[in-house]
Amino acid sequence: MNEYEATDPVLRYDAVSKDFGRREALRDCSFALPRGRVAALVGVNGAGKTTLLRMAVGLARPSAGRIDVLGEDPAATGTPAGVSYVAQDKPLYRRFQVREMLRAAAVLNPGGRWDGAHAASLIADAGIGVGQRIGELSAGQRARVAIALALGRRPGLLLLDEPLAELDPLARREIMGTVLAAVTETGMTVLLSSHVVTDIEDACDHLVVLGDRRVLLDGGIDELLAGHRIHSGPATSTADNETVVHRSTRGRHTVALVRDHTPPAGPEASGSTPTLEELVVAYLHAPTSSDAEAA
Amino acid sequence: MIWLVWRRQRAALLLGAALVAVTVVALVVARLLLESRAASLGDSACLTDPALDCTGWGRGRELYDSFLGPHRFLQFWVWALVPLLGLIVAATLFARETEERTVGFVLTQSVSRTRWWTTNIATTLLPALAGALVLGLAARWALAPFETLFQQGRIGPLGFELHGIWLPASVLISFSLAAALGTWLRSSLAVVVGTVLGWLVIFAVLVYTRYDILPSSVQIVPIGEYDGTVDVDGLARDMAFRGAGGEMIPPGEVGAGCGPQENYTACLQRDGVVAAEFEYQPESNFWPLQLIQSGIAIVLSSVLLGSSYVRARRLG
Amino acid sequence: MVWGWRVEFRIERRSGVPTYLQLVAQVRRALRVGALAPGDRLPTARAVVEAIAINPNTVHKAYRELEREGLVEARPGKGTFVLHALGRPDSVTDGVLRTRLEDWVNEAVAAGLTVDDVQALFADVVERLYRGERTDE
Repeated sequence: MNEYEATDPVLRYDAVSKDFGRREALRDCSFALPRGRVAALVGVNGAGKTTLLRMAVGLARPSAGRIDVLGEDPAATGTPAGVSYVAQDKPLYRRFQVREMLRAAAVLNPGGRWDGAHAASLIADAGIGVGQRIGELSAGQRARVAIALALGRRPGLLLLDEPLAELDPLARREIMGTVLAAVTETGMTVLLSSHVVTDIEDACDHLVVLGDRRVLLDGGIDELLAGHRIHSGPATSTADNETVVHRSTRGRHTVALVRDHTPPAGPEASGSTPTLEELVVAYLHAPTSSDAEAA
Repeated sequence: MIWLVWRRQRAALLLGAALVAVTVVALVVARLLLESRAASLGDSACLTDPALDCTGWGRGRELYDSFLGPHRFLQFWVWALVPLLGLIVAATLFARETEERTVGFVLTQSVSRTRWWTTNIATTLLPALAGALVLGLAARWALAPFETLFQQGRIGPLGFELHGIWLPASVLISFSLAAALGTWLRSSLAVVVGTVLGWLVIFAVLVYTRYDILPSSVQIVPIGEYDGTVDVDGLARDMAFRGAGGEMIPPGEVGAGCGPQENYTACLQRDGVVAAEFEYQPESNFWPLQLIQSGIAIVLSSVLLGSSYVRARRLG
Repeated sequence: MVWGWRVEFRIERRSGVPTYLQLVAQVRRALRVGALAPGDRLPTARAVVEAIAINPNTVHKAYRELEREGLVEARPGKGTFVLHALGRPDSVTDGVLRTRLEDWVNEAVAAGLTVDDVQALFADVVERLYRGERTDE
């Protein structure tokens, strides 16, 4: 978490909490996202991923704490010009034609930053005609229009809430391909939420795990994987420099995911490197929090 | 931004315009029909001379009978259509954005919430006000000969609403109500229902308090001169009889023993009635009442629009 | 898959092999069968990323690995170009072996085998006959 602080984060949450009335949605969430990362925000449904993202564009306000997005406070100024956000249901005007949707986006983005030609070409690449009505598009086509409009803002930070949910595999790959091509071209930062790790495993290089209303783990995926080991066997013991994140026992067989405090782990370290899914699952099943010292 | 609001509310705005156009045509046609019928009956003077009594059994009777119903209908239609315009253009203004969640799109672009709200309101409220104005002017011109024929003043219900500045005030209330509810409720249907009910409640309260805001005038007629009817210059509200000592006698307490052939006033005199007293809201109170009631409507609308703005600032 | 390039990338998500190594292996295979020849340009990172939806760093990592092995060369502003083909007998691509393999595949198709069946069969035979020999993938 700390190794990125020097490289001016694009997005930073500082002890952010959010209550809806008496219900606590997020508690004391802190993490920073370095520039140029493609980050996965992972957590079970209802973990607060949507709320976390909505607060970054001013659609919701933190009950406590502060969010810094490209140097702006969205709670005060609304969505910063350099940020694009696509909600999970890809909201667009259903009665509009695609061309009218493009015009709407142009009208809503005065000030010269809007790149209508870029958005139009992304839509054309997807094989969607500008005369088609939004309401008649398939879920995948709607998602592609929504992403095209988001990229037309030429964002430095793109926030996507469950971008792949309810899409077929082809649409998933096309949408992630479009987003990642934009990342390659512009170096923009991406934070996308998902409740399924495998969907985004190959696309992301950064991870934020949200569970129990808190940020349980965050950092670069390579570093995180290198910093954890899986021990498996009848009598699992851990070394002094390790902390058990999660241990599951079936009969006499125990599998434990441990955090290695002396990274990078050399080849001489015992146990195996976890997969991303194993890592995420272990943290989501951890009894209390990322500080599992008590366990 | 204006284009976007226009595009979203296009159907509603065009529907409103069509209703206004049809109504204006109907009003003009009604006046022309009335005039040509009066001319063919030789009763044209009934439509221009307020002093001429064409409401009785003699002159103008056919004219009166044929056009009383249509006049009532037109009055009622204009009275109801004007607030309906506010509802039509504003019902889906904010509610549909939250209903279809496009608020999450529009509020994450580079337009401030203040500008978004203001453009939404201006682009729909101004046409609605214009529609109310056009309907008011058309009704004024088209219904004038009807009012002369039926000897109808401006102070009574329906007359009051179609004269003066009530029509713009009326559209302002329904519009503001719909715009405010639209930021609170997530359903256009709920907004429609809420606006209709809310507007009816507000209108009922205004009507029921209207004639008590300013003191009524009283006209006293000695019982010997009372022939069962009396002309007051305004809206008649109440009547009573007075005895020799000036005491009030409710109409229900006298005349019970009058025979069918007996002269009614003579009978009343026998029961001790010396005068008939008529209470009425005078026509001269028309403008003060218009200003008071429209003022209430404007203040109320401002509060509603203010709440809509405050709510829109926090919408998400 | 990246069409229009002489190498076609695809990622096997369940294989357990790191993605960048899969890319490296596929370039090697293309070099081996002659689909890529010295002087050819590898697809740009953007094209690969767009086609198979993987993180751009993965492509860079794969290309760096190929560069380290001396198979390709990055020319700034121009792209990444193939330096060497991987040696193999000439007969493999256009010779007798290929023709016979094509005949065999035609028979398999005629017998109603699916692509998966054929690949599984092929992999099984290769595995058994080459047992103990290290592959370079």
